[in-house]
Amino acid sequence: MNGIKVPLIEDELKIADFVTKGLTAAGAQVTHVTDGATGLKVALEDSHDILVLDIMLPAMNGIELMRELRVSGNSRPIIILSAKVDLEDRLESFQKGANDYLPKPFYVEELIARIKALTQRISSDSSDEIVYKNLTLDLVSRRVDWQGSSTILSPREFSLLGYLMRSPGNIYSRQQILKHVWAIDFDPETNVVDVCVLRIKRKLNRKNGSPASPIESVRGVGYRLAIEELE
Amino acid sequence: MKPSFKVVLFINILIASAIIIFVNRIAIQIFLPLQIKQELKTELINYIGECGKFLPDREDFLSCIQASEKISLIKGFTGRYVICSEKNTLKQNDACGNSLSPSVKWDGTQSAAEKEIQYAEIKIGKTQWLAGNFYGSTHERAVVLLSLDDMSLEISRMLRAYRDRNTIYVLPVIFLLILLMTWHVFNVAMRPIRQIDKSITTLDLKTFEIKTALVAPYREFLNIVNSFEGLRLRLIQNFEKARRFTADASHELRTPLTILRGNAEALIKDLQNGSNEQIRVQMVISEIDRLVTITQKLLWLSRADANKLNPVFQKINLSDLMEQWVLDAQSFNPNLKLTSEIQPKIMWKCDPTLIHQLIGNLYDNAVKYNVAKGWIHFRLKQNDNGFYLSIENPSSPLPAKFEKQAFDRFYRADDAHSRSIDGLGLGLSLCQEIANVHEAQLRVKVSDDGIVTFTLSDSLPPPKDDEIITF
Repeated sequence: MNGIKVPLIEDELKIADFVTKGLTAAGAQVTHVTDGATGLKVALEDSHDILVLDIMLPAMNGIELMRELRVSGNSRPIIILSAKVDLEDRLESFQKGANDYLPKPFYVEELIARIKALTQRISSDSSDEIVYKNLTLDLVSRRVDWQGSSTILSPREFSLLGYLMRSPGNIYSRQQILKHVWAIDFDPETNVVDVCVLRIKRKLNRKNGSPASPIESVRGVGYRLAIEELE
Repeated sequence: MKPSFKVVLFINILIASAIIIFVNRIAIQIFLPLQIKQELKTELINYIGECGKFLPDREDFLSCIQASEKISLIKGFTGRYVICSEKNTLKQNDACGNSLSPSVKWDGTQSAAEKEIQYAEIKIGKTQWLAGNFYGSTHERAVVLLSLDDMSLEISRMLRAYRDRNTIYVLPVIFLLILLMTWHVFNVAMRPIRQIDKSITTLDLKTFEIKTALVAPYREFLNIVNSFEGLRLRLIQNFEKARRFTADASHELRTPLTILRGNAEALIKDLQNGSNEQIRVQMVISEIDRLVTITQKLLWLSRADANKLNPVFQKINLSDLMEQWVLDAQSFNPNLKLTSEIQPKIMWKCDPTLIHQLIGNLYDNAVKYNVAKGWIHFRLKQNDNGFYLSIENPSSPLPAKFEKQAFDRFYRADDAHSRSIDGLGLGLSLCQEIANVHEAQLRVKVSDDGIVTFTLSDSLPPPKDDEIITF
């Protein structure tokens, strides 16, 4: 995400603060604006790669801003951040030109992953793989290639590894992984995440014989893609 | 079962009609003879008065009487006349003797022109007589006596004949008329009630909107209609207030939760991996996530209250969905024995996201309230009415009211459970709302030996080759 320009139009300063920090840490150039009218001006005047936009804004709301932007011919991707989670609100946003919709509260890493996905979709012809250094995950065959070896992952294993690869180095809690991979929002009081990670490690280790693993366990917190192992 | 107003009204009107007829007949029995007697007496007095001029000639008198236009009315009396004369030229008997007595009080006639004709009712022995006192063509005094007892017998005979004719011909017609009248009165009485009933049955029990406007057909119904409308509008307002409160609260919570989690996430990155501080911050994030889940559930429940869950219906392979859940459950809890009976290829039109949530909540419940080394049994089968899906597990003793209150919001099985088991008591309420929006039935049963079974059942659509979601 190095150098991509991201105008952030969000009137809640505390939210804008950690989003700006997160995106900046991921390599983006963030321009923060607190109202819709100024946001539209910035979006029209400056060239940007992707727009991150709240809906409930002073001076001009996000829906109206999007409409104006699209009417002017601007087709840059737009991600909506909003506390309004009803289906009607989402549909209206997509109808008015949004490319993605992230309800609040959200994970900054989730936002980063979606920004990457949208910008890569535009710049890249192929979207069948996720690649990070020497780790490649084939989205069609569920094949993972690492350190010269290749293996097929089960659907859950594939989903888990893909999730970690969205933001290499970022720590994901077991709860986050459960929600993304198994689509449950309760804690089944189980170690299924640990078991799944262990299976991935065993499959990869068996193939290349090395005890090292691209997945690192962070004590008491969760798991992350071990970027140091991937140099 | 409630009695029918139609039947009660009908019976009451029939009884009232029967009473009216009965009273009428009694009145006829009592008063008609008296009336007839009076009228006949007047008629007789007139006829006798007309023919009295022929007296004391009995034959001329009787010929005059017989020549009367209304002879049929009094022909029965011709044999009962007693004609008396002062000169004793006619038959004398006790009646005559008594009638000619000076002690008899004679009434004047009706007409001043006939003042020589006088009348009296004389009782001689046991017989009641009507007597007419005349001064005939020869100016000789004569008295005509008629037996009123005989007249009463004749009247009774006439009435009996009339009654018999009435019973055969008139009464059935009256009865039919009463039936028709009753039916008509009933319909007229029921019309406004039916109108109100028709409006009220269009009431949507979820939104309290009414499709056919409720209007008072008559002023007697104004109060009841106004009361109902007032109540309905008040319910709509209260539900909307409750819904808005929950929705607004949920909405307002999202911003601070976003700030909390975002900053906690940023903090975690700044801390050393595996450090105690990082673990503590992760615990904070876990609790924030829990709050987010609760907020989401509250919002869903509020939308369900306002009938705005907005499910997106798609035809799915429910058997595949259940199979996936069983596989996942086996990964989640290897210490619980998991078994299943899943009939393949059971298709159902539903919102897959909501049903996934429902099964997840029931499974979560089965895990949390299970016993040590317990088990969970998943079942999906087709039956005559459609299908049923059940999740069954053993549980430690539950309160007697559990079956009734399990789906109440914030209900927890008991305090002992509540302390050790995580949860807010919203999961099963949400399951019930999801079942309702699918027009399916969700029930819970606790057996005597403590086996808890949650069952979801619904009718199935006929199989079609529509778009199917597979898992």
